[in-house]
Amino acid sequence: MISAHSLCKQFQSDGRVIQAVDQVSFAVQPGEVYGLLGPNGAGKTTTMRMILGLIKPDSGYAEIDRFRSDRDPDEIKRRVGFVSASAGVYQWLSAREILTFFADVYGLEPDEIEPRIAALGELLSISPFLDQRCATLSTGQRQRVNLARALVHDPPLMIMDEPTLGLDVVGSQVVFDYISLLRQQGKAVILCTHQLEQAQRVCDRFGLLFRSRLIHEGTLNELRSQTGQADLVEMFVELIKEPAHPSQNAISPSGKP
Amino acid sequence: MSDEKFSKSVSSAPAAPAASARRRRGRLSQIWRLATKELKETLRDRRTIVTLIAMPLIVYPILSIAFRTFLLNNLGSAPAERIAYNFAVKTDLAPDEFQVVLGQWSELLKLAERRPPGTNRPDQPAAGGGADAGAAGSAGAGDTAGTAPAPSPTDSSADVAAKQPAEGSAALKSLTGQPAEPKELPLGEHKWGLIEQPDIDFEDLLASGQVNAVLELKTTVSRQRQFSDVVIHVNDNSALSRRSARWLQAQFDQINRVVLQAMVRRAGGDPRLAISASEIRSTPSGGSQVANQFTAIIPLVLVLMTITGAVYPAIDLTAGERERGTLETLVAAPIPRLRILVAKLIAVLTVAVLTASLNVIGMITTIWAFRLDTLLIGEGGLTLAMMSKVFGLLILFAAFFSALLLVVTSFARSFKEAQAYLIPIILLSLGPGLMALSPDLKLAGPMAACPLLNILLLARDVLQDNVQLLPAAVAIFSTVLYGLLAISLAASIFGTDNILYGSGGSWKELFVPPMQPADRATPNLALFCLLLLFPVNFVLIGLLGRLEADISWRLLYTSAFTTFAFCLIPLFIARYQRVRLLPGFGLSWPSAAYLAIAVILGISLWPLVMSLISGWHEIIKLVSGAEAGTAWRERIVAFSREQAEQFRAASPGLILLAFSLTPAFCEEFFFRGLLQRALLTKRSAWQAILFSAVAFGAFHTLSGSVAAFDRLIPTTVMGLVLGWLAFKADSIWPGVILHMLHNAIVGFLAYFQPQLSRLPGFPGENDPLPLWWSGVALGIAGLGLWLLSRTPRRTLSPN
Repeated sequence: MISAHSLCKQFQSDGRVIQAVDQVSFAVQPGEVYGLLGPNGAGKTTTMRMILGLIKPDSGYAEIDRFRSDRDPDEIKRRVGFVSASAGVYQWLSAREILTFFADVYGLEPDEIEPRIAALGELLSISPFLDQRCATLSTGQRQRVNLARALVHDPPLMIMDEPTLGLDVVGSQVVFDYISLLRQQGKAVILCTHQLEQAQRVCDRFGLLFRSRLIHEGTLNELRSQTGQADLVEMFVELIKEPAHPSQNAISPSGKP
Repeated sequence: MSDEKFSKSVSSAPAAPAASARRRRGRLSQIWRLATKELKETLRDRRTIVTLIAMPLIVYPILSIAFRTFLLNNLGSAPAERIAYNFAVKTDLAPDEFQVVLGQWSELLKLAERRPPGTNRPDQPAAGGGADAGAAGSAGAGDTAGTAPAPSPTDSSADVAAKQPAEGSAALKSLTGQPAEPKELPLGEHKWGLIEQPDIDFEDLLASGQVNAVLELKTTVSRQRQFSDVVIHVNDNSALSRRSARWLQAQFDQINRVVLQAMVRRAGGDPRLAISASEIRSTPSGGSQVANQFTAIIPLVLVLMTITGAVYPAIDLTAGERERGTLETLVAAPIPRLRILVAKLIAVLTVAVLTASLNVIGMITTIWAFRLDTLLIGEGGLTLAMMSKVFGLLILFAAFFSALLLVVTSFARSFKEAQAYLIPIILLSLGPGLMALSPDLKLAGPMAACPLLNILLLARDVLQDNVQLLPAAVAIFSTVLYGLLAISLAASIFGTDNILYGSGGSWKELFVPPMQPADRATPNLALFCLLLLFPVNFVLIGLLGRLEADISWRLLYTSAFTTFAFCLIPLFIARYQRVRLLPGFGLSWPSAAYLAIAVILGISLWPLVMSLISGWHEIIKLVSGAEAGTAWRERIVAFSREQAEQFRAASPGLILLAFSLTPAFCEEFFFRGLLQRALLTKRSAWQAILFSAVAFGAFHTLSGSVAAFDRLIPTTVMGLVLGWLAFKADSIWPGVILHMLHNAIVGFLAYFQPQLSRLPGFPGENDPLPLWWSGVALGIAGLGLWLLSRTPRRTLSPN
């Protein structure tokens, strides 16, 4: 059971205070793919970073398996995997060395690491270049190494930030297959992306962030009835035109309106 | 993609990842594995290898060639040769007459060399020591009676070869200004040229280097070849010229001695002179006795090379992570940042030590190949024990410096930024490095705790076989401590929000006023103010020293300067940045409870401060030895007494103004007002209080022309109390009152010391405070502090 509870974060910039995330709460079920969408500056990235523990929230917390991020940040970190287009790889290490390193860091036993790497290698088709230095890999190959790294500790929650950025059709397909795999394994996935058509295909439920608040939430059909628009692109365009208004639905942590 | 295998591997693991059983693996081994990854990352990089290997291969041979060239120029010849000096002679004599004179001199010198058996030969240097050529040789009975073996005026070449080690040290001695003592050529074998032009300029002749010295013989009128007024002209810039002149002078002294003895004998007296024998013999001081600044260069070069080795990995493993985009995934992992930083430290340290080792090997090989070892170190040369001790110190230093580098680079978000931060650090390190070259600087007292400098001095002492246990222990311990502090600081900075996602420093905050007024200054602004005040304060103190005025005026100037520095400048800066006065500086009036506490603490803290100062004196005694410590303390007491005398010439009111009222308000205004309140916006209470207390202490230590280290700890402790008070009361006024009372009491005691010590029960000037006074004061202060902790903190509204 994965949820965010009233996350808030302010930043100071040029002497002004900017509210980046304002009372954002949502929940994601195991086996569900949740799309966290919104225009630039809405607060998606900050929300994700708060769940990951990269930024400390001003108030609120994330909860996974009854561990809270304000009390046991390390337990939360152990249960989250992170895939991002902007994440790099260690140039001088091989994929195997990177995977071994992160497996170690996430607490896997030495005898578990080898089989896990072998399995991941086959799963993501990176076995052929597992021992090559990452500097020599192509973008697609590096992305697959990153996908493997995110999965090495088998987290119940996977956060994906623009995972298909910079990838071609083949590469994007790999990501979609990966997401299906995660769903099959009963993992919860939070997906942040600007690719609204992709999101519509892949996600089960959506949360629309706008100007630091969660404005709409629900399945595609629910959103359609909430906003009166047929698809996500039109919903976005409408959203940007409207002046900012408080969230109309009280969202409880269970995800039901 | 087939997920069967993956599912199998997953299902074989327990559902909850990383159960606590994992943690039994041990933190140490994990740190080692982390370090291995960092090491792989850095050592596989070609650029690291270049710095690591190319430098030692090239630098040391070049350095030693330069060094030997330097030696050559200074000595004027290769160390092992004997020199024929080149003298120009200005005289009225004709050339053949001068030759006759020269012959007579040589004969007299031969007489001087014949000695009765059992006395020192003048041409044998004392064992390993430097003997002045003039004093060497005893003036025994000058009679030649054939009793002594006639010494040959020239040595056989075998003797010359045997004296090679002494030649080396002799050459070295000439470098350090002591007279050299090789076996010189006899008088006639040097080159003598008569000056023919009447009006030649001696300076030009000497500067041209064609002659080593000019001998001017002014004959007496009687022309009986008795000379008075012999002047030897020297080129002061040339060691060779000075050496030739000294030698010539020594020859004349010997000639005179012989002549005098002959005269005395003819007059029927005892030809032995009042002082029969005089020589300088130096006692060996254990190991190599030649203490010179070159032994300090070796550690310095090694340190510089270590720094070079550590810089690239330090930047790469911190700022480089962010540039590569790997920082986020690292910080998102459930691993304490301290562990990450320790692993990085190990990696940087390893590269630094590798660099140092290669440099040590390069250095030793070069020194040995070019036969510089005896020259540089002395008789013993480089021993394995010596080098391994120096190497051990180097590792210690490398660990400390790597930690320091990691602190600085953890702040950086890119390679460029990291390099920009590191350049000043490296330049600053050169300061202590050069200071360590001075032979007068000893590893003692506070110097033993001064970072970088202490290790360099200790390494020099090791090379000179001159180590004192206590300062060495202090040096080692303090370096370890600084390293630990640095690495924990780095861990708290590394990967924080600001570094991960900050936009980088911009000038705007400092120079462009914000659009809206603020209740507090930003930490950056306050820090900028602090940094600005340091040189301002320094200059003002210097200015105060230069003002020639009577004491009353000087007290007024002191008050004015303090006000300017700690009140006006922060005020101006804060107002320029639109910081509201009342909340920004904590000027709201506090609740009465805090005022009462301030009074209680203000009257009771002074004995504590005094005992802290005497405690420091005891520590100095312990570290420097009782004698040095007491002497130092007496100097300080005498100095304070002098100052107190001066101040008594002024009125008590002015003293109160200059030493109590003004500093109390101004220092609270800045340190607890602007600085602490600004820091509180971003840091925890204790961090803010500690930082402003340390800044406060540092300013007071550096407030004279000499660093008054005995004030550091008492003032910092005071700063902590003041900081806590200002924090709880949310106002600077209680602190002002405390500070005022405290300074007033201390000033009062000093000012009226003579009158007060006449009172019964009052201690005299040099007596310690009665124990019961300290006890009572401690009790009252304790009460005050307890009250302070119990009183609730209420933030005051700015109205």
